[in-house]
Amino acid sequence: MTVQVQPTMDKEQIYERINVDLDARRYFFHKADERWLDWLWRNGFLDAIKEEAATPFTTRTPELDYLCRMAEKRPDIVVDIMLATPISTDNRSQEVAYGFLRICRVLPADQLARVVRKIRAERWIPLIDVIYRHSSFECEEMLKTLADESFFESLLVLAEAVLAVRPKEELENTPLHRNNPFYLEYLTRTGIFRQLASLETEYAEAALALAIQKLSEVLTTSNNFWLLEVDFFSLQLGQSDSWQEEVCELAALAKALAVRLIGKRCDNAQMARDVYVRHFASLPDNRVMRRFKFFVLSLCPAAFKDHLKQAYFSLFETDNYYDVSSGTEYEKTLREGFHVLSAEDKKHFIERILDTFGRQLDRKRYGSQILSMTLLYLNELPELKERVEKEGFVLNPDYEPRPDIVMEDGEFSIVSSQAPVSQEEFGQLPLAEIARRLRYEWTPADLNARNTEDDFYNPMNASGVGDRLQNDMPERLQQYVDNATLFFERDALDQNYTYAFLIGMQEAIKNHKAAASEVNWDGVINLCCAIKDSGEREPFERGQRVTGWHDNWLADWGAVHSAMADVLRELLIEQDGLIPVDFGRYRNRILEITSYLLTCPGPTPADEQAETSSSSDRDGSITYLHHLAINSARGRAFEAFASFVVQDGKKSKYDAGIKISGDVKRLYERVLQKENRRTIMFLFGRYLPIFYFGDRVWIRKLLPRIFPQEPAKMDLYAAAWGGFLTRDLYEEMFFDPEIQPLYGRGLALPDVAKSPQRQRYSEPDARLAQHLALAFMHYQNFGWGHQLFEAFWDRGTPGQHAHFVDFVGRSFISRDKAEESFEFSQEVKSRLRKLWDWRLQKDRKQEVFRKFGFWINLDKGIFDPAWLAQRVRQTLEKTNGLLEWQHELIKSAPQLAQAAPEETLEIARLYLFKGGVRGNEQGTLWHWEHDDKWIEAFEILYKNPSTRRETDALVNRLIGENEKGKTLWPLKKILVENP
Amino acid sequence: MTEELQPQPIGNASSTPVRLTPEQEDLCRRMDELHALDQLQAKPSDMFRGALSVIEDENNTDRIAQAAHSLREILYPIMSGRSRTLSGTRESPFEKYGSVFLDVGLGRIYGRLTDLAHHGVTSARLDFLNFSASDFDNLMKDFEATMQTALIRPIDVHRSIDQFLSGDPPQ
Repeated sequence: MTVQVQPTMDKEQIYERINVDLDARRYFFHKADERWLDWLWRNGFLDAIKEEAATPFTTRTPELDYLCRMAEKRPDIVVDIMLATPISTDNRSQEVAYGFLRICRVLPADQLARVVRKIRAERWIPLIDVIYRHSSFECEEMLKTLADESFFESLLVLAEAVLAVRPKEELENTPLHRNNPFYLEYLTRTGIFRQLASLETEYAEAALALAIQKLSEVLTTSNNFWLLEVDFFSLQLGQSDSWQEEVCELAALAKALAVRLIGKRCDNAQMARDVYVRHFASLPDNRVMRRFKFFVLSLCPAAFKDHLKQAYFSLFETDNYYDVSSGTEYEKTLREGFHVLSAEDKKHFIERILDTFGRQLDRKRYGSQILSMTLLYLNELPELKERVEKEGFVLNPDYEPRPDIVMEDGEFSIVSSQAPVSQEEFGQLPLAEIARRLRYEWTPADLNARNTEDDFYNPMNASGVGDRLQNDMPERLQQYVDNATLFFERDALDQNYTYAFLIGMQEAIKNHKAAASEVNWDGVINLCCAIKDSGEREPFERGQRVTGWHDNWLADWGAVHSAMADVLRELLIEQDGLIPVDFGRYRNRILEITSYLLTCPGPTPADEQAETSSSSDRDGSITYLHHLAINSARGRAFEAFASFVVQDGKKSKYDAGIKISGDVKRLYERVLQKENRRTIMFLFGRYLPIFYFGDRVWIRKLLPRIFPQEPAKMDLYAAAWGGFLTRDLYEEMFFDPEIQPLYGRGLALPDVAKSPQRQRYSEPDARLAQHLALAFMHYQNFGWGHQLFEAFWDRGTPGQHAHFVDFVGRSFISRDKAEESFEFSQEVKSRLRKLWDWRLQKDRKQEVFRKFGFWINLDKGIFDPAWLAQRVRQTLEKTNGLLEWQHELIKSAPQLAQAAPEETLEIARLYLFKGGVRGNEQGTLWHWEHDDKWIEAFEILYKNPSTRRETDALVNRLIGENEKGKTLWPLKKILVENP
Repeated sequence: MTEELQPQPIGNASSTPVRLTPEQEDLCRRMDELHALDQLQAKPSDMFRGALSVIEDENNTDRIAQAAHSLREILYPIMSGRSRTLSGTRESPFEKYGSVFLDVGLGRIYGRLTDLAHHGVTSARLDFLNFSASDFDNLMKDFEATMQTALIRPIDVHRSIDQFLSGDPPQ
């Protein structure tokens, strides 16, 4: 298939040829080498980079890619071209500026130095912000190139360009930019601050000027930057992490340069003062700059004697002393430089402190801190020191000023609750003594009172004591169980400690099952009974508690009851055929406790109101209900109840086939009768199988109450139905004539979960489809001719159908390990083929057919390649070439091409061309780049005479129309290598 | 005189086959491929050669209409409808072929050929009686150039670029 190419083309002809489409242009500039660079530029072939574009561009300009490639070979010409290309603010300029930055990244220093002023003047960094704010890598390379080759002047110019500050409105109103005032998202990774800090001396002052200018600009542009966690005295480059990192680094740079230019030159006082006057004296008057200036003055106290005096006394010239003394810098500067003041000034300062901070108790603490900084001086004047102390100031030689916010590992300090005794000491205390202290010495209020303001991050509180208690339990579990009742005494022992005890107990059982099975549980059961009895006599108060200033959280009685339910459940959970508790011995008491817990008030109507719920999922979805259920006292009690029924059934000696006793049934019916919370109804549905297999006849009579028909109870029904669908399938239950109508009714359930937050596979739609898909795969009786099956496909929604197809494909056909022990019998294979054909015949919805991607499989012997090719082709016709799961098609493509070349050619046209290239399905082209199975399939098709021509044509179409670059060019080799 | 002395042949032996330029040979191959994609039996290359053959026969008084008819037949399947895919959907034959250009103005040439094939009866635009062989020659060139453009595919473009760039830049 030779092609006639004109032997010679003139400039106009080749220009016309490469502009036939984007692919031609892309190919031309991909192939052109450095010999052509000058000619192309002179003859206007690169003019696309100069044209203005009003609309956003969608692809990368091939000319820029070419220039980028040429930058390493002919940097001089490329720089000429860049300098001759104006950059404005239109969309094309954005792309060109970014392309130029990519070029600059590889330029040698001498050529790069020619461009930096243009970068700064035309503000390339702000220009590329909208789309390329991540381009720190290019800047890093450029800065390094200039630094390595000692082009420091150019480096300063580039640094100024890179440190462009966003405008006020963006910093104030755009959350994304509130912590980083600069345009580059990863500015610190460019190394700009280190590069500037290490500039040679003759450029260091210019770097200082730049750093201070930028810091001032940031601080005057936005009020977001307080640098509360910064201590200029300890601030170092490279130590900031995450929180306002860029501004901290900028401040660290300014500090480092100030130390070099002032701190290291204290021997030349005049020079130090000159630098200060040039760069610091007239800085904007804000807290951060004031703190920075204090630090700078502290570098050479003798040189800045007058400045220091003014700085120290400025504390008394403001209405709000905190404006001056916030942070560490004022106090530390006082410590470093107080000695240079005259004796008179020193004394005067102390007098002013006593006067200003001595009158109010709450201010005295701060006055003490300031005076502690002058301790060296006061030690020399015992009378004055005595007077200071007499007036109530505390002079602490160990006092160390701290920043307003303390960061640890780049994060704000974590509040860590403390206890009055260490864990080791706690472990030595007899339990009776612990119980006594909890009542009298370690009450939440007592603990709160022990704290000072300095204990903000390490407060002593009831949580700290609770932690000690919980940590100690595994060490002497039987002792704790035997003495469990010590940990409940209403109105005497704070409920927070009863809660801590129960939580600790649950954790100990859960994590030490073997030890737990050896324990005599009398004590814990007695404790639960004591709480029950107390609650039955007089209901516990409800509602969240008011906490003290240093408390994290205090458990209320609702939390205590939830924890009780958790303990019971933990005692009933089976492991290796055993449960921790002697069920026969405690059965009746556990049931009594459970019965009591099932009367707990939570969840409340307010809990189920989306507006007042703590959950962000506001759609009443199944996930949401489940979440609410397991986080409420009654919900947890119901779960414990279900565990109880399972154990009771195992130990039962009731009538044949019946495993639920009368007392359990009565309790179940009582709760059901009263229940009006969706959350608990969800659990009635979820745990239905346990009760169903306990007594079928009994539970069938209750189905109308569990799944009520009344319109007013629609929400309760939907919740119970959703809960039911979260369980696995049981054949007997599924085909039960009383249960089957429930599925039919479920088909008509309005989509209660339609919301943007809904989670896949957790909604009734998906769950219902899954149940039916499981039944279809496992139960031969569920298929064509079955009323529910027919109704599902007849009345179900496309969404439900899509879930069905998706589930069968994912869980059975394409899963490496299909549902455990599932065997693809001939009958099942035949049903799957029939179903696919049936849907192709009956259905038209794209969303259903896109799910068939998971069905494309040749490994399990379900489909013959030729048969499969035809169905895939028909499926892709319905979806316009789109599939949700493409991997299996790609994997099978060569086999399909061998078995059914014409069908496969059409599949390729639909999938690659119609869906991928024309439909712009990103996934298709992504897969293309990561898998060469399609190339293999194309080779097969091209070698086959019956599909050769069409394959040739399709390859051309794919290459010609693909706008995403050279992705599909590898296809050419098939035509070239197989002439 | 010498010829008169030689024995004269009798009978109607085959005339000289039409000689095509390399460009025309290539065009014929492409047109055949285009039609073959739609499983058309008649080959455009035969029709094209026929048109050339007829137009060269000065004894044929209807040669312009007949040559025009042959060329028109090449375009007819293209102009009259869209190709079918295996799926039954329709698309432009040039689209299916993978052409870079999907609209090169073939309709204009097709209309002119139709007028000529119908001896100008159906058209007021055409002065059929005064349409000369030279005019037809120009039309033929137009046909070839337009079809060549219509049958350019991305890989052809790539090849022409490769060839251009393999030389040195013009001074």
